[in-house]
This record gives sequence, C-alpha cells and structure tokens, in this order.
Amino acid sequence: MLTHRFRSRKRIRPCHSSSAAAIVTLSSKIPVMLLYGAAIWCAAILLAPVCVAGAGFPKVIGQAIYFSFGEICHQIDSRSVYLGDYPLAVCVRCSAVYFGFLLGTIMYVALGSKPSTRYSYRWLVIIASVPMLFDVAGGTLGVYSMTDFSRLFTGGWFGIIIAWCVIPLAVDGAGQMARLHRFQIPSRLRGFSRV
Amino acid sequence: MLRYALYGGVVTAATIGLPVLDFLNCFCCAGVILGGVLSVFFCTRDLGPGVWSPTTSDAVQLGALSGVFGALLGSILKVLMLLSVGDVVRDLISSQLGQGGFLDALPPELIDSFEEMLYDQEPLSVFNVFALLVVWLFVGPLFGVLGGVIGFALFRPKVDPFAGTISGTPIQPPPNPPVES
Repeated sequence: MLTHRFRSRKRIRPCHSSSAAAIVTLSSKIPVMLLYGAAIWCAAILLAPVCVAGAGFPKVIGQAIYFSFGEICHQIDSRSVYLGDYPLAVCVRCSAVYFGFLLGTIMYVALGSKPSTRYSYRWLVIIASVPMLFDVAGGTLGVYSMTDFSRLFTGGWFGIIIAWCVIPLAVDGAGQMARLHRFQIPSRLRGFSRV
Repeated sequence: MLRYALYGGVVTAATIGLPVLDFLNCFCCAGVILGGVLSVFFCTRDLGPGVWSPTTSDAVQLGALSGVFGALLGSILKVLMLLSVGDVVRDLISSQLGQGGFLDALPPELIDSFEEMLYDQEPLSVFNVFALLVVWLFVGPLFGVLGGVIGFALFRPKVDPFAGTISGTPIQPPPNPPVES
C-alpha cells in the first residue's frame, strides 16, 4: 500500500511548520469544500427541469444533466418529484439522499463539528442504511407498498446520517494524504473556509 | 494498492456494464459504492490487523482508484455487451410480460416502472459512448471515494483513527524550523 511503501522506502523528512499549517488548513477546509460540492450537485438536479422548460437557460444543458444523472438513477417519471412540468433529474429517493447529504453537511459545518471518537462510524453506517434497505426490500418483495413519503424519509435519513460519517473520515484522510505528500494549498483556495 | 483497487474496480465494472447487475446503480450508484467498499474489505482481509491496515487516506485512494478502474472497464464492457448481445434485458422483459412468467408475479407498479425505464433508452451512438465514458469517469471516482470511506468505517480495526496511523505509529507533530540568527 502507498502509505506502507512510502514509509519503508523513504525516510520521511520533518516538514516545516508552514507545511504543517497547510495540512491543518486543508483538513479544516474539507467540510466546506464538500458543502460546495454537494450544493452544486443538488443545484444541477434542480436545474435540469428549469433548463428543459426553457426558462432562460439553453435546453441542451438540461438534456445533458438528464443524460448524466440517467446513468445513476432510473429516472422513472412516476417516482419523481416535478418542478413545473418536468421531473427533477433524479427520483424521489435519490433526491432525498442528495439533499439529505447537503443538509447534513450544512449542519456539520454550521455546528463547527470536529472528527470525534465518541461514536462508532460502523454503527453510524448501519443506522443510516437499515431503514432504506428495509424500505427497498419490503417494497420490491411486495411485503408493503412503498410511498413517496417512505422513499423521502428513508433516503433523507440516509443522506443526513451518512454525511456525519463521511465528512470526519474525509477530513482525516485529507490530513493523512497531505502529511504524506506534503500537499500545499493553492493560494486561490486559501479563503475557502469562510462560508 | 493497485491490486485491491482493481478488485473493487472489477466489481464496479460489472455493475456498470453487465445487464441486470446495472440496476444496482439505479440506487444512487450503489454498485460503484459497493466496489469502493469491497476494495477496502479485500485490503483489510488480506493484509490483516496484525500485519498492516489501511489508513483513512488509503481508503480514500482505494475507493477513488476502484472508481476509475470501474469506470474505464465498465464503459468498455457496456459497449461490448450492447454490440455483441444487444439489450438482453429489454428483450427478456418484452418476451416475459403478459405470458404468466415470473415478471407477472411482481407488483404492477414495479412492472410499469420496468417498462417505462427500458423503453425510454436511447440507441447506441459514438457520441453516447463518449458521453458515457465522461460521465462515469466523473461519477465513478466520486462515489468510489464514498464507498472507500464507508468501507473504512465498516471494516477498519477498532482503534482511534484520529490518533495517527492505524499501524500504531502515531504521526508526530513537525518540529519547529531552526531559528537562523
């Protein structure tokens, strides 16, 4: 593995304090970068029907968004939320997951949370996934009929909870990578942590 | 690392390119996430906690690489499948519906959804193949990283991930630079 090989082949030289500061800064920017990424992703989902409706945007952008999201979602009309006359770029459950993740990220950033060992990430993943898995399995097997509310609730639950698992681990991962590769933050990203 | 990323990438490619399995990606890219999770799982299983275990950054890299491999292999596989056997799932569903087969036992809403999803697909063209590759090269690593992180949360050894490296060698804070007088 990279980390292992890196250590065994090469003696890590002590880095200067400016590099250490850059590592800390990079780690602190990860939640905000994820927040921007999630916001752009969700904006694209909302933008597709607006573009196709021709509300001041080129139609081809909307079609490209529908095509792109079509690879990762079934886009069945009867299972989609409509914005005007056109459905969103993804179905109800996917929309709930992505907007839930955005909400979870906003909460994480707004509360100024830090990576913590007080809770188990393994259990967090399980708690996030189980309701959605039951909903999908129960609905597909015909045990009960899934409703838009159940899709919205279980998807949103998954998105919010998983954000609280992904962000701290991403912060940790970015910090470790920066330490190993002595990553320097480009100057244009230095103001990223201000929301 | 490349070997484990390739394992995950093969799983991802199968969920992108193979008929029936590609339905997994309809659930928020579950197939790609699964590839990332499995690459971390294979890594932790083979190397074991006594020898060496991945750090969070390794899990992120494993997930990203599995997504890239999966996107490349999966796009090629998908095009090859469409060129060689055509859309077998569409043909199968067309032949089975209304004949008292296994599909008629499914809830009617699900059958309608299947029909709607399958008959809306566009035919294969050079532009579509290129667009497919571009989309998957963006989406694959993105959801692969998510899978790697989730895999790390599920399969990592029970130690504090924020105390340094999992192998037990804490990362020391860097010393101050020498003061030049």
